[in-house]
Amino acid sequence: MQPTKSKSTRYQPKGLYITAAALLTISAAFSVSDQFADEWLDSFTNGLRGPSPIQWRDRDAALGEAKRTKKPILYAFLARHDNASLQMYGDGFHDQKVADLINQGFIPVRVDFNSRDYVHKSKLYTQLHNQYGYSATCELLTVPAHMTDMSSSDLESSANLSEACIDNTAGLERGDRYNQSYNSRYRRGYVRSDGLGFTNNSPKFIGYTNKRDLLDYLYGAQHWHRLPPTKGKVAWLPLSVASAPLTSKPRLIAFVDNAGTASDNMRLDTFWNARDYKLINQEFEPVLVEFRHGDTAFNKPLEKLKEKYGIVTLPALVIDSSNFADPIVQFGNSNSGSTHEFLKSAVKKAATKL
Amino acid sequence: MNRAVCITTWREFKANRVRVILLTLLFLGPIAMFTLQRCSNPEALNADMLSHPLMASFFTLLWASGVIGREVQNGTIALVLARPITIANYVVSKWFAVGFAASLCAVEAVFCEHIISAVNCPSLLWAPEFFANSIERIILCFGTAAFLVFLSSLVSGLKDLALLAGFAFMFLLYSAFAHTVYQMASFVHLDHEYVLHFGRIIESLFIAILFPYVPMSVFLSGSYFAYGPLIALFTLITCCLSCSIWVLTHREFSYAAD
Repeated sequence: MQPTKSKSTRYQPKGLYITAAALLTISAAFSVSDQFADEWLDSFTNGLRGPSPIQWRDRDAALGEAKRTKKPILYAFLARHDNASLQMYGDGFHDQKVADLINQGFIPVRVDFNSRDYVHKSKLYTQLHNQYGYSATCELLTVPAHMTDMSSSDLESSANLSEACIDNTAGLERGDRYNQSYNSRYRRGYVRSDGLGFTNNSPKFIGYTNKRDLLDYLYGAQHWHRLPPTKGKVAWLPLSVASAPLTSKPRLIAFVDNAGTASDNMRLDTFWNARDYKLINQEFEPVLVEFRHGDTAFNKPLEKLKEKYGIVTLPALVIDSSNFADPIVQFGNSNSGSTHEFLKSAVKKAATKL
Repeated sequence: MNRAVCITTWREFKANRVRVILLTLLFLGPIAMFTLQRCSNPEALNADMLSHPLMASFFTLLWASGVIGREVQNGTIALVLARPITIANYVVSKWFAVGFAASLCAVEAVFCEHIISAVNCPSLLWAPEFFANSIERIILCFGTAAFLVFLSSLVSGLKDLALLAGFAFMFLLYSAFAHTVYQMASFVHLDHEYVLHFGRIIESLFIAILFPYVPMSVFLSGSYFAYGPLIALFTLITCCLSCSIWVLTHREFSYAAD
């Protein structure tokens, strides 16, 4: 009897089984390699390899270059097992416009992590995590040249503090800066419901959305740190007044930095607060002594004033009057209520003759 | 692949009114939400607002639930296999029918969203996100379909939904208690780091099965090829189909309803 050519109903497709077993072995090897052996199969498992149109620097070189060129450092934190990182690297960084913008306007530093880095916590991981507290998946962070020693909260605070950002002043004037949007005029980016994207001119870009958002972020990141921070609604007198002889009005000298959370908070809590700026404009001769963070040449002449009043940290408020034996000083940024009490007590004290 | 099995699968779906209603809702829901978003906030027009490719998994779930199990339950599988068709052919045909139908629905849904975008903002007509989203949906459909066909081959009727829920629940349990287990490892003198590595392998296994996602925009940009997600997808498909065929070839079928 001739054997039939058709296959049995319970025919076993050995080819499919062998292919499945082979693929399963390869996948297992990839997973094990990713978890237990960094270099083994790295060229296959690591989607963040391959040529890049961006000229990446290492961190030490970037810090030196930032000091020389004053360009901001752009940290790209990428994790090889993360889909958003793969998209950022493959789709975002390989776009010619994005690459040109980064190469021309930034000093790019790439920080790649594989799963082992979370556990072993390399020196670089520890340094960057302590300073910026990032989540070690896909994230971009712009650090201006003058703010390389600052934390991510300082960066976020200063990124939203330019005069151009402030349009909704009602909340600030009531001393309620937390519940008010004070930078909607400058709003460019957005955060999606899944938490990706970026807000306003924030220094961070979290996850990956698309190329247009990335370009928007990079355009904003080139500029926000070049805009001067707000000086509030105080009618500041010229700096030369600070060294002039005292008059009948007490003199308020405000020492602030141009970056950093403490100085930023003083600008918003006091210089924008209607209760405070009205009191200052009415009762004091206000002078703003504004330091540029990390710019020694610019700060040198201002250091003399700092020494004169014994200021060691910024910000500080100094009130001097012909009726005072010694000037009175508030170190750091106290809360809005305490600063107001400080100003009121100074007014009262100045009214009392020695 | 057997054309008749594919067509029967589609016809069977069409005959089930509950599924058709659910499919219509799943199709119209995101589009209605998307249109409202477009109308209320036209300034934020952005191709990225297309609904997430994960939607494709829900379409697949609708098409694939009980795709083999129902035929086992009512005894029709024995009649189908009485014809000159192998179980391997039958399983692959079922997988293709489900994957193709779900892909069609998922791509149609994203196409409608895209048209609404393009009407409001013609510059978005050729936005690459649309193409990437569509391909990601197709991949998700075929990947998820393979796993659901495997689950359906294990049990009769719609019990595969219970298996899927159990699997998802296991993943939730794992996510919730993984760190406790890692800490417990140190009490029994196991290397904490190695336990953590094994934990991550298990986690990636769960994710690869439940969400076989391949980031297409990476490949479309022509940059370095990331093999990992693609190999994981093919592994999922071949392993699930192989297991499904093996299970069915070692099972006796009755003409009587289960």
